[in-house]
Amino acid sequence: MTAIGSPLYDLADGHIGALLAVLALPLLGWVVATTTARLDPETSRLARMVDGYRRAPVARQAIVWLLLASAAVHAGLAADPGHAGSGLRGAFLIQAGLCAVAATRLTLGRSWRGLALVALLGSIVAYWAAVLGGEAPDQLGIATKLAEILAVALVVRSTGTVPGRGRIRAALGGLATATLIIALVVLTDVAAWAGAAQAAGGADALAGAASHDIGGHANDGGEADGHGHSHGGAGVPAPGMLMAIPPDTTPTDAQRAAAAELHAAVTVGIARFADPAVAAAAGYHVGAITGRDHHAGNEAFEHDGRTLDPKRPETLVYAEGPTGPVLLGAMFLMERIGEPGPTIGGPLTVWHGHEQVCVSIVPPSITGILSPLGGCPLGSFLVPLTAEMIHVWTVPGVEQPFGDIDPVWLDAYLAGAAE
Amino acid sequence: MLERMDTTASAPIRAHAIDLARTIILVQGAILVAATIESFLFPAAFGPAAGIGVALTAGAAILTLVTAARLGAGRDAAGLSGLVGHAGPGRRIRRWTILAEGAVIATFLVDLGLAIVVTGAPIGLVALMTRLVAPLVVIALVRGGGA
Repeated sequence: MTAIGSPLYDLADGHIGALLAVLALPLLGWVVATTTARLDPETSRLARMVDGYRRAPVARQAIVWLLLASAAVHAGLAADPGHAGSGLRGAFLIQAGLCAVAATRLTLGRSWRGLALVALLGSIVAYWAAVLGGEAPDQLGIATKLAEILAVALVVRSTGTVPGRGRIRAALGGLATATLIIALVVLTDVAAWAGAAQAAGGADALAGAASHDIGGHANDGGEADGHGHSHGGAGVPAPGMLMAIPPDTTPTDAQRAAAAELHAAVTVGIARFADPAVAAAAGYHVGAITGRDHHAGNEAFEHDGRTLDPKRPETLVYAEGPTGPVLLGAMFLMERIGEPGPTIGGPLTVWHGHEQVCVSIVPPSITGILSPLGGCPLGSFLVPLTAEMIHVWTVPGVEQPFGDIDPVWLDAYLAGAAE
Repeated sequence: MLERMDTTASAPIRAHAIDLARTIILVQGAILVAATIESFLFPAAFGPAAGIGVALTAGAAILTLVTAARLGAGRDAAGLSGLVGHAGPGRRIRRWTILAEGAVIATFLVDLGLAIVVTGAPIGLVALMTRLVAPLVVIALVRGGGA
């Protein structure tokens, strides 16, 4: 069964051309440098540009490359057939043109900073608007924005300090530049998270993926679409989630019966663990039960060679109720990463995994999911993929016994259970 | 005399290299500021244990931004600040920068190795850029700029 993850950690299909365009830049640079080597800068504009580039300080050479990279990415995006007729193609071409002209003017020693800043800042702000408007952020988009932010920093710093104006003015200028760059990076990060959550169906989806169950996914027999490059709408998993695509969107009678049988067996099989002390005695790490999705794992059961054993689930899930812990259900876990879980109920019992999870060793715990900017919190390392798992909710009246628990319903249930 | 002349002639080249390095470090610091905000918010979703990264990440962000500000400011190993402009960074801060960037690369290689072993695929483009390419460029610039 094929599994899909959040496009946040992938390269969208329609962006491969843009990546190839930027990767081809060094080759293009070498060809231009070789070709113009025999030309006279007095008569050849291209030769003058190459000469100007060679004479420029390394920081300005970097600006040229970053501007050309942005131009190449946007030209590649314009060439993608997926952007035909969307109005985006024109915007991409304009951005690519502005960056290319700014790079050209820089090498020719003409005024270029204003144009470069307009092109770069315009591209960054347009990206924020695009992802907040429904475009699912991907690796190329974020990498391009970071490169453009570096270019902005270099352009701003290239103005230099005015001689004789003293250290205070230089310090204030440096502080303003740092503030601008931090703001651009943080806002790009926020836009990427928000865009990824929106593509997955809203902020609840993001929180659900993070908290490991509620709201992050649905095993309701509905369609699980979404394929890497989304220009809007829900349908892709939230960051950190890895959803299997069910083979058939309509469960058969046999699958419905198998799912019901599994649910009934698990309900009976784990009933004794309603008392956390019994669960702890059986080897579950119950600990202090807090929140609405407290997972208590049993390491012995994770490596017992059994799959979907209703009496020995690998994990129990509790909620903190007004009058004490409430057993919500169980989570079954495959023993090995990459091993698909048995979908005995077809689309009703779709297993899921997690990807790009940040984990700390001391203490052993999940510390987050991989940032759109490429890192985990310090002190953590990246677990790229987990084993497949499925929840079976045994709490009476739950709408989706193998999918999500509606948090509003759960709150009402817990309040009712206390009365 | 010849050595001094050569040093003087190459000073602007070094200064530009250091200027590029500190700009990249500034962006790295900004990324760590964003990561600190994320670390601050993660406990809401992952529980209190997720908060252990906040202090470490915040500390790294501050150190990185301070490095971006001090690198190339002319402070020498003793902390003197007599040089103004782009006369080259102090040896201590250069070494610290190379060490820190090396640590970033080391953690990236750990994550990369794990990703290849577990999934058979490398880490994403952004991590490659921010945690491998950028640190390598900074190390090259600082080593060259401080030669």
